[in-house]
Amino acid sequence: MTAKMLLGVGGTGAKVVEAILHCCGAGLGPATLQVGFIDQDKSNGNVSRANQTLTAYMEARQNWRGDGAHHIEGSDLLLTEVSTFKRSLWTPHPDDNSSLESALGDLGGDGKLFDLLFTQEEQRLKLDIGYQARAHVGSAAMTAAIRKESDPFWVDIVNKLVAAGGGDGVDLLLVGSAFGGTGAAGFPTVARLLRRELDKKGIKKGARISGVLMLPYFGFTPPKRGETVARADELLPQTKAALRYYHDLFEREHVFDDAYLVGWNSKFELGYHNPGKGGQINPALLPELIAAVGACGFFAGEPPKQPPKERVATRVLVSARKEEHRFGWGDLPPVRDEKPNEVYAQLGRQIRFAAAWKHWQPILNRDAGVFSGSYRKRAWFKGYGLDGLDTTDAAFAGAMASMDRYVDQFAEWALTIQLLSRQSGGSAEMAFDLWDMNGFLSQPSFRKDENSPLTVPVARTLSEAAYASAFDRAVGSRAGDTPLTTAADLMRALNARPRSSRNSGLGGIVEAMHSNSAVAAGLDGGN
Amino acid sequence: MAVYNLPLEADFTHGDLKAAKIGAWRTFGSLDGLASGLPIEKRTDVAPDALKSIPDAWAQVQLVHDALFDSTHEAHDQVRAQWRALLTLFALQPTHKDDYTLSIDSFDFATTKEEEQGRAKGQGPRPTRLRSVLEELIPQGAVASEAKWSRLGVVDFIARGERFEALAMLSPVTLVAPGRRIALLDGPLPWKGGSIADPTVAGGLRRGAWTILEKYLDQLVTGLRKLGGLADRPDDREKLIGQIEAFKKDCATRKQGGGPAPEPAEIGNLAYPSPFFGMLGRTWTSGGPADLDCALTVRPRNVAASKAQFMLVDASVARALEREEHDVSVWGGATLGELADETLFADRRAAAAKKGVVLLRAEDFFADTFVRFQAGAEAEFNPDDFKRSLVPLSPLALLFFDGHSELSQSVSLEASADGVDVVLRVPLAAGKTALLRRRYGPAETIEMPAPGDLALWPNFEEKDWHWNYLRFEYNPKAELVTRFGASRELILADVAGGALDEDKAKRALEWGSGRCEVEARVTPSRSSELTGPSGETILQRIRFAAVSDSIGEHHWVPHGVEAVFFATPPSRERGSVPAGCVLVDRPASTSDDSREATVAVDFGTSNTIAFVDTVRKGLRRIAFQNRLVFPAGRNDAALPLQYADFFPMIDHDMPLPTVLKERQISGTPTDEIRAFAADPDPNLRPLPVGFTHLAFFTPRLASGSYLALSESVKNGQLKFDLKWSDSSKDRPLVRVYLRQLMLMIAAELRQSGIRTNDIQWRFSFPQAFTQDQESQFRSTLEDILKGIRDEKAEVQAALPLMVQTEAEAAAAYFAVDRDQENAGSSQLILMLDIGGGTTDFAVRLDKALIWQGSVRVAGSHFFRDYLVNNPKLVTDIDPNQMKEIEQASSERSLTTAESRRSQLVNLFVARATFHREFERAYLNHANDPVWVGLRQCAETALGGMMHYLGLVLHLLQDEHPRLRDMRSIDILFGGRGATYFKHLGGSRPSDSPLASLCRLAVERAGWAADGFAVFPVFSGQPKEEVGRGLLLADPAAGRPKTPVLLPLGLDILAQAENGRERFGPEERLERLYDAQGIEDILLDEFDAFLKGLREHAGFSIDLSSSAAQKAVRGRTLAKIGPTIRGMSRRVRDQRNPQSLEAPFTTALRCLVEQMAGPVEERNRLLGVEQLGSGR
Repeated sequence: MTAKMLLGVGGTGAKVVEAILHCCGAGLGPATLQVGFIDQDKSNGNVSRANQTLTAYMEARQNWRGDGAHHIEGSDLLLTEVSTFKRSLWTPHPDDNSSLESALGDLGGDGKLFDLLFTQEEQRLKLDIGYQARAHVGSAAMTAAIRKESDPFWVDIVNKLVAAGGGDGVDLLLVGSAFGGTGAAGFPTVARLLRRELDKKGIKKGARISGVLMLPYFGFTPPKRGETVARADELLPQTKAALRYYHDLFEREHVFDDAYLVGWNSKFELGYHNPGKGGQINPALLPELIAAVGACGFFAGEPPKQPPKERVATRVLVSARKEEHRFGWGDLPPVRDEKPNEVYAQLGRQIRFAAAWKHWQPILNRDAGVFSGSYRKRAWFKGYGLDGLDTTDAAFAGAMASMDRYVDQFAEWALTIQLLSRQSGGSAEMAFDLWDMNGFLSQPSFRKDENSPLTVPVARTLSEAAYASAFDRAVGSRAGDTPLTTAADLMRALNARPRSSRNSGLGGIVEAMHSNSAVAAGLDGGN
Repeated sequence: MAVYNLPLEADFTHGDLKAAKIGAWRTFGSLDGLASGLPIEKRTDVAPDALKSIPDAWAQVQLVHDALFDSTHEAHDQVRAQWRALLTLFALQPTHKDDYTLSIDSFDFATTKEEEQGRAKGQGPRPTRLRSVLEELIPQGAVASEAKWSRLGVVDFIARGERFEALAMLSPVTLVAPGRRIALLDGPLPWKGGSIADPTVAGGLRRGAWTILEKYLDQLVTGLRKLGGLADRPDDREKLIGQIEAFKKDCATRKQGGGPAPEPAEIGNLAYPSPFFGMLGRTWTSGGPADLDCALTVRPRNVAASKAQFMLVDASVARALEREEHDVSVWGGATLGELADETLFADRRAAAAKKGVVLLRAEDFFADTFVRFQAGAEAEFNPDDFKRSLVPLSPLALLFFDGHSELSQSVSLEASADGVDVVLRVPLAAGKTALLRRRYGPAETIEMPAPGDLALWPNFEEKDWHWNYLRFEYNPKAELVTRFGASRELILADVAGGALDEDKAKRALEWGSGRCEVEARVTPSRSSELTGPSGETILQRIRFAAVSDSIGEHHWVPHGVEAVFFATPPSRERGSVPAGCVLVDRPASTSDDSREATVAVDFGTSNTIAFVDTVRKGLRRIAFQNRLVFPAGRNDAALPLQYADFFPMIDHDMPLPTVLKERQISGTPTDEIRAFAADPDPNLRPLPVGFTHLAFFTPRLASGSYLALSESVKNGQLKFDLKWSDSSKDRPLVRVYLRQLMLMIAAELRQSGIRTNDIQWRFSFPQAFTQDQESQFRSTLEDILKGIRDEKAEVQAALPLMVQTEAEAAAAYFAVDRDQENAGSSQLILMLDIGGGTTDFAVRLDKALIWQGSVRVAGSHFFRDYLVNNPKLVTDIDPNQMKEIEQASSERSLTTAESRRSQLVNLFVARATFHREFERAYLNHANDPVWVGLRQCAETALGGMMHYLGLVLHLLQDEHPRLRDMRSIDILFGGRGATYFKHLGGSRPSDSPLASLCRLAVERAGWAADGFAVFPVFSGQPKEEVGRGLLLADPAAGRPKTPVLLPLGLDILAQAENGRERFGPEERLERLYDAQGIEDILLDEFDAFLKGLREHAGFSIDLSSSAAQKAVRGRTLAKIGPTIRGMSRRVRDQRNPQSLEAPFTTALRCLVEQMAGPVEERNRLLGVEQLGSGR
């Protein structure tokens, strides 16, 4: 089976990984996926959050699609079996005082080369908070740090790549940005190093290396004086230089098979700035969803059986939307060309499922004040065997908690995309036509101060009325389609007979909730 | 319209945008296109360092590639500037080799399989981590297959001993690529500003640089096009070529006019990592600083020029070039604009000086003071605006103008509201003219008397003529201080004399205004000189007068004088301040004569005469022109006397009296000058050639000028008898006299187009010279010739010196000269050239010279001395002169009255009008006793010589038997001393008193007197025979091998080897070498002569008295005896008759000396008695 690997490089790369994980949760991802992060800034908030998502995803999947008491079968929910490399995060220079100079060690007689290519400031730049928008420093430092032969993180990747030469296919996707520090530096560098490793080993088929390259799409408050991190107003000029580099690189060197480029023509205003370190937690944004869809598309494709004939140039892929100030399902590229509604169906269902979960979770959890004896009489209670469940064991609690965490992550992610998309239209407000999750908000979203990102408070639970509203309104029907089912329809369906006997524990009802959250008959992931 | 999900401008379109499907992934053709669509301000001047987003360890190289080849790239301007700067550094390195050099370190990234395998086994050296990183990420593809990323070079820049490392890299895609540190580089760079810049924008490059760059870039294009193999990046190759072409085009635009043609050059010691980069090292070079914008043109006439480079740092250069000051190159990468800062200028001037480059400001060209002349004066050669003032320029200004005419036309005066503006138009090497201006306000303008006492010799200027003399005298309290005369050549020679470049520059600046440092090197307190690089003299200075109110100096200026410089009288506050100059215009010589000349000099005892023979003008007597120049304009009647000590002041024909006058030294001359005055250096060095204190004396002999002469005589300044004096003190005077004479002759010839080196010199000397005297004479002449020839000139080997006896020369004259061809028609000819101190003889038989000889009995003995001792004769000739002579000689001073009178009479006789005046007096007073006494004296001398010649002819008959058959003889008289005998008849009458006197010879020869015809014949040009004869001689024939036969003429009793021995009159003179001590002289033969004299001259001399015996025999014995006794073994062994004097002629001279005494006194002593009435 073809191995699927995903490397998120840098903070933006992590955010895209986060989006990919959510797509995977919705059933758009591959069957398996090995995920890793690369970031020099160990405490990068984006990476941390992506890592949290990854953890939440993996825990949820472990609880719900593993061998435990509560098992879902026959559903796309948390379909992808996500794992990490030996470590989920690789930090090139873990020491606090490392610099390029220290990373390279003794220069011998090569000092002039060093001086030729790096200024003294760059040579001594402290790397503990990343490469500080100096991609070439990062490229060199990262290359110096990568021990392909000894570091488990890299050994794992290289071995899998090399294994591709033995017949097992490998799809490796790198995700990074063309701006900033770690991502910008690592995105092509890691790809080139791995590609050259393949070249050295003579492996010309079975391995696909592609990339998702994020171009500038957001803006934030300029940094205070003296700070050397990426400035939003410098992103485009820097991107331009990088693009020219990529242009030349892609022309002469086989680095990526495909490169998905995603950005936005006007900036998503984040409205704050937090200079690196753990505080850099940027909200999820629509382009990351587009990138994630592209990633899923890559993983959904088949590795080439034969090496491309004299192929050097990287295929650059871009997407377009219909209108500048409007984004709807039709603007999202498909994962598979033959399934044009797949993304709508899978993500739409996942959102509606989330609404359902936020209502049903306290019921299933039998929280005091929510679960009452009247439920015991309902058809779904008995039908899905809830009356026989031990709600006091750890498995029950774990399953409930993990799913809740996952759903919360997903809801917050989706809601954030929705909320911030409105602010992305520049002079005009953009119409976000994918979903409307306002019903998920426990209170209006708010910003604590200029150094804080937007906080999106997702309701811990949804009352019946709120749930109904949220569920019914979250996703619209696509033009010409039949009207979507409602929360009432879901209830009716649950009261009908269970759909699959392969589920166990809570799996049955959750699977039913999920499947009955579908946006329209015949538009679920299976189609 | 669809909208890309990309950060693009709203209206961004792409070729396949319409085809793009909304909500789908589609390929996009060009990331470059995408980059260009980003919504950012379109700029191309972003600093490369600001672009930090290239994710590659090789980012710098990539950025250079991207920015250079894309004119819309944000960093295009700066990267292109840096790239162009790098190519320029390569292209101009040989031209600026003194400023900087480049070096290349090669880095090899190619790992062989063996190395790789070795490393895998832990063997072999491991690359550094940096090397590994770069190898891992090494770029791909180059503009030529010959260019490899695996073999790269890092370029260092080395200047002033400091190495700027990692300036750039040799790049397989852009040839050169700036490194990250390049912006830190700060000079010295060839363009302005001293930091890295596009030279076509920065400017400040030297003129020739554009030509070099064009050629260099063209060569790169050709090289790139010729490259074989398939390039991985064919497009990049074309882009690279395009960039080079664009650079070339910009260079062509910048090129203004042609610079010097560059020479091919290589950048030395560059180790190219691969042959591909070799093209960078082949370039051209141009002639140093001369092609900088500010370079000044020095148009030299000698090699010294190439050793000095001058830059004019003045805003006028920018105006002349019609450029901004910041775009005008000066030196070392600096521009005019930058050097407006005084501190920076001072720094650069010092730095430039270390390289021998002189940075000049306008003030270096001007004097600090403007001097107007008080009424009446005018400087003849000054430009029209400055006829009544000094030209307020510094000596340094001379360097930049091609002579008087150009300088005169380049300097002008403009009146302004608060003074005057002096404007100087200075030609730049760039072909333009910078206009310098200096304003002199009232405080900087003074009025002074013109410096009248200033003269220069000669009156022409020639490159190969080094004998230029300047003489001046001034009152330092009241008059302008004359400093020195200078020319371009002089200054350049001085500058070239600097040992180091810095020294040269320092010397050059010393010639600028506001400074008197030059004079500090030629101190006025002693005789001193400036010397050139080979120790040759370029300026010599002697202060001949140094008293409180008079400073007098004499300068030798071998390189010519284009201007004479002055300073203000010294004041307490400021000392002397340079005040400009008067210009001198001495035209070049004419070329109206032939290329070569032969000069013959008859160096006589009392007179010297010289002739020249050229193809075009034939043979002629040399006459001297007045060649004195008065550049400051004073030329009044009093000057000749004032200057006579220094220069031949008037036109003067030959002959000149053989007399020198010592230069007067007033004030308190230094010991050195005193010593020189007392004993001029015989070797002519190191004391100045031409500072001879007796130079150029030509006495003023016209009536009325005797007072001055008398003064000289009184002071003992006049030196006579130069030719024969044996004293060690006087001997150098011969050299002084001859040298001066030859220099004057050379000047006359040079002025008519004949160079000193193209003169063949011929000199005569008397037969009577001893061998030592002859060889000394010859070596003296050779030394002088060495001194006055132009040894630097590349001419054919100097023509040989030729010396001949006066007798030989005179004989040649009588035999060959056309004037004389009918004079001597007999088969036998006897020639007498009677000079002042010597009479030379020659005998020709059938035209062939069979004998020659010489005696020291001549005009000074029988004529001048008689006049000295018998003043009445002088009174008869010129009563006024006699008074002066008497007055002068009556004063007691250094010399005796007699000696002074002798000198004055000598001069009296030497004057040109003497012959005519004598003739007139002779006719009136011939029978006066004192005049009779003169004739007797002269006839005694001639009769004695005839008797002696008869003896010779007698002896010659043994060798030439045909002589016995002779029935007639022509006796030819030449020389100034023979003039008197014309009064005794001549021009072939055989019965004249002169012919009668000549029969003394016939009789002593043994011929039968009856029927034997004697024809006296006089030369048509007395005194010219020897000189003309010298020119008639064939130099190739060498000296004729004539037998020297000199009979003793008297009986000598002497001790010899075998005891006492008697040497007879007919024995040869060299027999005396056998004598070891002379005991007595017998006058039998002399008595025979006196007997014949009585018969043929009509007067008798009685030597029987003891006083007479003492006067003649005793003195003869006294002269001969010591000579024989004191003869060294060496001289005896040589047995050269020339070293002795025949006793007969000694006795004759003693007799004539007595005969020349006061007439009454000598008549008593010698019993002289006129027989009959006399003639």
